[in-house]
Amino acid sequence: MVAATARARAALILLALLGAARASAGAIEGEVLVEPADLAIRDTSKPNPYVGQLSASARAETAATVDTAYGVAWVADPASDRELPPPPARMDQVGQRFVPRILAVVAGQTVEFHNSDNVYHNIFSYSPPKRFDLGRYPKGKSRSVTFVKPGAVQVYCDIHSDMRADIIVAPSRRFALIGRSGRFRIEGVPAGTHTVKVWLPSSGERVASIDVSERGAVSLPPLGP
Amino acid sequence: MRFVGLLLMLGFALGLGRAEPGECASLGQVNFQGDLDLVGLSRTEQEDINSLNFGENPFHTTRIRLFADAPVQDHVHVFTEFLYDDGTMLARLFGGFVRLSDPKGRDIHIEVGKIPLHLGAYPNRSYAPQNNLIGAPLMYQYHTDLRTDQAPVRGEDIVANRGNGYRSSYLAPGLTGVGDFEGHAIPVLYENCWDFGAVLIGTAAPLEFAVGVTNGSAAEPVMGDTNNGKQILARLGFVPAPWIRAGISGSRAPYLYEDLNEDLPPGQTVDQFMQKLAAADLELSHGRGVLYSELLFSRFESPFVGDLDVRAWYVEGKWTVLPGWYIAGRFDRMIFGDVTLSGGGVAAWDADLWKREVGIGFKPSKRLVAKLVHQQSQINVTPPLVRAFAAAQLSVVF
Repeated sequence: MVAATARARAALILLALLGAARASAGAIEGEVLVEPADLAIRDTSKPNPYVGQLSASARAETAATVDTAYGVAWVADPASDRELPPPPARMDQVGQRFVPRILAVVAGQTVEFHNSDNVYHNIFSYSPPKRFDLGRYPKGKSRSVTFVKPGAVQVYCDIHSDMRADIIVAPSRRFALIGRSGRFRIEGVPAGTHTVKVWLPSSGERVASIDVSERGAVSLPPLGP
Repeated sequence: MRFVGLLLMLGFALGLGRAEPGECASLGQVNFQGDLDLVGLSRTEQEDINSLNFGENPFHTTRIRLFADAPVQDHVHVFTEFLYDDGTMLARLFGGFVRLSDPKGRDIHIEVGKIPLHLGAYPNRSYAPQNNLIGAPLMYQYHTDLRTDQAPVRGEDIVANRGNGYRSSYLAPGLTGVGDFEGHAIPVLYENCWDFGAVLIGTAAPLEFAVGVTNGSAAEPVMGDTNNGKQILARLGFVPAPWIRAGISGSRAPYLYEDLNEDLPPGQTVDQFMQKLAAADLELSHGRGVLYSELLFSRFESPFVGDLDVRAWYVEGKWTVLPGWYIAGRFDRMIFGDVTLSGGGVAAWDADLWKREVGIGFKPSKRLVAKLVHQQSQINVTPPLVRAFAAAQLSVVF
């Protein structure tokens, strides 16, 4: 009975702390211009360069419907609290495309690269935050990479030259995906001055500084080119 | 005829490039792409064995490919490609064709025009960004001492030209060949100039298939026909699992110029003398390694000296050692059959040869490939003609 009371009290204290933390956190809102070049990353009008070759499977036109991110915004300050990385994220390879085309993860998080195509893929990256080459592997297999350093990582397939994905490794969970509208909102940002980065395929990384109050949302000023 | 065909294709390509803006918006954009290949050599005059038609060579300092393609209506796409090689100061139409794709979305297409080579497996990776090395396999480019516009009358006529390649002639003093100087010596299977014709290409897993008709032959693709015969070609591929791809190819075409008809015995025409080619290709991959190999047999029926046979094979491997870095190597061999000599006995109709190319490659991005290779070759004439050089290539896709 005593032990149960103690556990209940501890739980109440934890909830109170979480509530206080949430109450003292603000949000960052912003809007960026999603250029035609950003929308073109899912352009399906290009002809299949592998006609008549079974080293490529038919393209899946449904891939784009479940993949709606066109950019990422994140708080770039080093994580002040020691967060456990979220469970592994998944990037699939479907119909010669990476799904999602743009993925945001937290530093320390693992990404499982799954192959759903009937053909081999060979995923690699030369980006400084994480260089890797997973070799060739068939349908149904996954290979994993843990992204430790924050930054933008471009991912390609060595066999299918038009396959590309971008993985944004954020220092913390304070990030948001940017949809077609260009609007985003990053929740749970502690009060204070923060550096915010916004990444779009056409413009790369852009940086802004912003003061966040304890409550409510602040708007990110317009970003330079 | 050849010039008229070229103009028609050029006009077709330019016309599409100048499509009305509204038309482009409704039917899709014209996609442009380029490939700039820059090469430096450790020694000059050593790379001749890699020579192509028109004097082109993948080891020349600057080569540029420009691509344009556009959808013209649903399931119909047009492709054009131009090539410039600074060794010849010549820009030419490399390819120009229309592709009609199955409206049901299956991987079945018909290509019409100046179409890619659909024999063997190397053509899919012949461009510099896809080629693990700089040179091409001998079977796709090495010029034998067999000509299309001349015919050897005695075995000695062709044997005397062993190792001469592009410079071969049976009309030299002391020789008894017939013909003129309209054409040139030919390789066995040529990738660096596309043929004019039509092909049905597609997949029906686990099979890949291509079957077509063209004006030229495997050895000499042409725009306008040079005789009254057509080439029939086909490839059947088998991909039972992702790690293996195997295929067989074959073609049959008259290869001699029709001007030679006047030099043939009564009742014979050049259309009776065929190039018959059979080839097999194999690709195996595992982890970070890929192995490619092809084997070829070709028979050239010659009016006066009988069949001229040649075999060729190569083995090529690539291994990724670090992200972005790979090592690659290829060993090539060509072996020529015998021809009967007028004085008795037989001799190989061209000199056997081998070529070895090894190198390292670095891809700092998908648009940039840097290679450093060393190539050594030997043509077994007397004395053997040995060549060796190193080369660096930077290939940029833009």
